[in-house]
Amino acid sequence: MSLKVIASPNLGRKLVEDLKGELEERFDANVILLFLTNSAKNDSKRVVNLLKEKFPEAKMAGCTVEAYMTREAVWSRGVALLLIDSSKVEIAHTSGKNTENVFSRLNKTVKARKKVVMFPLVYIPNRINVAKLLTLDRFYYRKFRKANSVEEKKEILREYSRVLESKSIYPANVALRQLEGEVAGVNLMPLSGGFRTPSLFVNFKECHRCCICLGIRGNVRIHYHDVFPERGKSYEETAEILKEYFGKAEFVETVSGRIAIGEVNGKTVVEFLKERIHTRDVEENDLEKGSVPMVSPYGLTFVSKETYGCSMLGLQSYPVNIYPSIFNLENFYEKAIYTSEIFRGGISNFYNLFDRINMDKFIFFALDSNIIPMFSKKIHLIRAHINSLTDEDYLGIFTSFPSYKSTNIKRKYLTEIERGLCFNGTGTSFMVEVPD
Amino acid sequence: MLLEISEILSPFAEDPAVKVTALYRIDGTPIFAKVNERSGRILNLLYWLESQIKNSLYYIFTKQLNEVSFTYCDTEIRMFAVSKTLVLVLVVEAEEFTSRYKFDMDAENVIKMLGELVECR
Repeated sequence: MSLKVIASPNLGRKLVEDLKGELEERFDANVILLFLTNSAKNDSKRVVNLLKEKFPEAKMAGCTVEAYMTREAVWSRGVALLLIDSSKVEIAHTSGKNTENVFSRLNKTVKARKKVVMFPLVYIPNRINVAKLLTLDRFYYRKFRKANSVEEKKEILREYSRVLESKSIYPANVALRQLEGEVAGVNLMPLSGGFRTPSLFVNFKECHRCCICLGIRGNVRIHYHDVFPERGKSYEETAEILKEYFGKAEFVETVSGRIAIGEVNGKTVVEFLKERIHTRDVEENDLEKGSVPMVSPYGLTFVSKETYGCSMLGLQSYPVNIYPSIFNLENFYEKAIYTSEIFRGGISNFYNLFDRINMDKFIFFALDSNIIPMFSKKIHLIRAHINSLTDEDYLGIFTSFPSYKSTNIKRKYLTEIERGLCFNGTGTSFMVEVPD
Repeated sequence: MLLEISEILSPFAEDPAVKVTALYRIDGTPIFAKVNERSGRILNLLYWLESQIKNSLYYIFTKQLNEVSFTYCDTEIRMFAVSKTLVLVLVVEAEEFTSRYKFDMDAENVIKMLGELVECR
């Protein structure tokens, strides 16, 4: 398999010129992966057209990312391309409203056992659909308040979850559950959201709510890593680990159904958050500017009934009554833990992903984009660390907390929320080692 | 050399969100400057910058500061030490929080590249 990384941090005309210049060098790519940063969003058409012109027969996939890392630099501007010349890579895509259906169709299409799947974990639709969702939130919350029993409340939340799934959220654990083999998930949720974000690209066209799967045959190795200590053997043990790790932890009672949380300690999630921290309300204007904060250092951590692993859900002061979750909460304890996020050990915690690096293999990796607001320019230390380990070219992308599925997980990851399935709202990463 | 500097600075210089990209010598002489917004507001800021720059540079070098930043309403002036004789000045709209972190991450690339260019000369 031969691979080539091309990147340019420029914008507009200069970006296209740079890419044209780089593409002059002969390289027969039959698969192209495009990673476009938010700053280059206005140039997406020009870049896609250039690729189509240069490689009309190639298969193409891509998505928007927060930043990318190459051997030379880490940029949150411009684009990065990964050109692949191999018959061992296949690309498939599906779209639809029902998560199970969409991902099981994707699974049937891709035959390879090693997969990298890109999908919008949270898609912020256009203005009309956002308004519809906000109205439906009020409608279902009124029903929720009137419900006589907890079971009835949960049923209403499940009903509302179906609305959220059809318009905006593909819950990460539900999505990955449908895919067979070893799967690395590029779950897209921008750090700052706006209308019709994030974007994906497939076969030289921009699409918004579709799921793309790369099947890779051959001797490919996928490594997963999280920055947390190992999980406990019971709810109490895991809770104790979390308390020790985060320093401050508060136990709370939640009422949730599928991907919707109705109550935390008898209040709405936003009311609960506002009692604890001083936070600015997210307004409609923020959506227009594309600056709705999608990350938060404050969150609810839910412990899995199946593995006693856990996943964190970040909390923000959104104008909603029923708070949406990015993973299905059905298999989690209702007694959640309110924590504020810290990474003990700082940025060096992320180095461990590269411990198993093979000196002579190309690597592609995805890092949790939360580390951008956390560590900012210190991210260059990761690049320096990788450069000290390998002389090969590589490409890394920063996207929201990558996920992983495998039948052969040896470590007791805290983020393993279902047997063989790892996902967490922060601190995760994966690396794909590509053979020659 | 100027061509190489302009090539290194182009990710900022070509970005409409960056109002001014400039590289100053320690004595306050601009070596490279690209102004993306021609308005009285930016002109005033540039005048102010000229009068302040020697002072700020003195602090950057003698007090071993790596960076100085000033914020005026919604405009931010960032000064980064590139080498013992050069300072990178970027004037940007004060943006929402994640953009600022990304901006610092990107600026680090440029500072490193400029540093290497100056060192090898």
